Amino acid sequence: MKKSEENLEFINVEITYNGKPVLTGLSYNFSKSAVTCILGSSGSGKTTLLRSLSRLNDRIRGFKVRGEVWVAGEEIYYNGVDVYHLRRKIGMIFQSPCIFPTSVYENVIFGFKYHHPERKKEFPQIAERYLKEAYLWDEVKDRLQKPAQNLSQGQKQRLSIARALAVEPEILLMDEPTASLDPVSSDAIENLIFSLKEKRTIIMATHNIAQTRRIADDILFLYDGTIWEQGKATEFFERPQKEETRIFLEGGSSSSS
Amino acid sequence: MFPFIVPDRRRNADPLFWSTVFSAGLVLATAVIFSSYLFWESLPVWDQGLWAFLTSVEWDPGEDVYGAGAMIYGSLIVTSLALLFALPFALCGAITASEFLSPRARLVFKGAMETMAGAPGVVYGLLGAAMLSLWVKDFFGLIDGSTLFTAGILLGIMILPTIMTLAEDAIHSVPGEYRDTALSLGLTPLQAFFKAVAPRALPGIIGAVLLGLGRALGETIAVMLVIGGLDIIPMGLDLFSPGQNIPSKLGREAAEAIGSGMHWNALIALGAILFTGTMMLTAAGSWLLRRRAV
Repeated sequence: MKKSEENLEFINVEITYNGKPVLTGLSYNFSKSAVTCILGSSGSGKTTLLRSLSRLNDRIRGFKVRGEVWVAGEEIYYNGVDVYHLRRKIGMIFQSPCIFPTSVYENVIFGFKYHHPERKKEFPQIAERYLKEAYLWDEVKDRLQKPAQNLSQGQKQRLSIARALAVEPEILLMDEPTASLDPVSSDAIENLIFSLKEKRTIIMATHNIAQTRRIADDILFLYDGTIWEQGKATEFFERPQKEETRIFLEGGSSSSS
Repeated sequence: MFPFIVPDRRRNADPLFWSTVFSAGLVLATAVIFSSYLFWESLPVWDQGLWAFLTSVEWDPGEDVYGAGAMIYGSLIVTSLALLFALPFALCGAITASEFLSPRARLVFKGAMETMAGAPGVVYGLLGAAMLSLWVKDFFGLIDGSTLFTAGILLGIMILPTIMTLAEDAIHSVPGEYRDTALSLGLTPLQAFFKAVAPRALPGIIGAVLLGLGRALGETIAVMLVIGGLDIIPMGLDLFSPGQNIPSKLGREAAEAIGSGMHWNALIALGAILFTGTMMLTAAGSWLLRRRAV
């Protein structure tokens, strides 16, 4: 079966680790060019769900995915799928930014350079374009050749976003990208997410309810290893259907602002 | 008193604290006395000309003529050979263990490597004399299998587990985020290792290599059993010739030369050269390992 190139969907997916179910009965079709926030308490499977979309858990022994996971018209757990090509379509931003021990410039073009070594002449333009897109250019344009480790945590996170964007993914997965940042840096990342969603589908795992209210178009609420509620963000916050969701939102509201 | 000790500790310290300070001071004093003794005792040799001692090949206690050239050459050759032999295997093993083995297989592998790394030199020496020497002799059609080459390979086998296990520690200690980030950008696991993990682990790997080299440079008994024991620099850099390195020379002659004047001073001077070499390697290794922790 072939699906649309823009399709991003779970169909009756079960994810197990050493035989123990982590997520069950997942069926969801993600909206294109929108921000879908995956909400849930710690350990609810948000990260596992995100990582399963780019097959980053393949290296973990005992990790199994059953059902169908469709990304850009391809069932990604089907034998013969080029997982490295898949990951170029799906960028991933991690909770704490991982910066390679090299210059700002080398960090931005890291992935692009690997995939397109022949386009060496374009590297400087690529670096500039994506640093601008990540709203980091003005802050680092004079120190592109300086060690990236010296940047602030917020700048590092934007640098890691620029690096992921430079591979030109259609989908961007973000695993609590502002969890280790101060409020000012968090705001910068939120603004960046707003501008990115025009061209890309963004799926973000978070337990920060206030932030989710500000940026989410759609919500996927995970509870007890399954999708407990799903739908448009406005409806989710205004009219939560289930008691557990209400408890989560009330508890979360008092802890995050 | 003792201004180098942290002031707070000095004021309210208990007897146990002072005993640890005493022990630390004792170690430091031993190191200072040890190195001073080496250089003091070798002064008569330096007085005769440092350059001549370092470059001359003639070593004749009967005539009181001493040149360390053959031993320095032997040390450099066997250590380089050991490194050339050990490095590819050690690095490949370290990469495999850290990146591609299951946690359980990695532990078994590491356990085996650490056991090998801790095995005494004399055991390697006996195996070298009983097996490696004979293989080298038969394989290359030599009259005698005790050669610089044999010593180099044996040392390589000895330092391989040391380098492998320390390099593996350096690679394994690179946070998983580096691998995940590189993989998420579309790199293969091997490319993720070379492009993202290895640069970060490099100082630790270099430290591991230097510490392995330190062991190779100082190993005595194993080399003594297979190197051939001739104080010569072979013509045409012939690796299949018998030779001598500094530790094997010391091992052979120290017992008969104690307190014998210039002969003893010359051996101590050899020890000082070796001590300086290993000290520099250890210092470089420790410095790089410290950098890794940053």
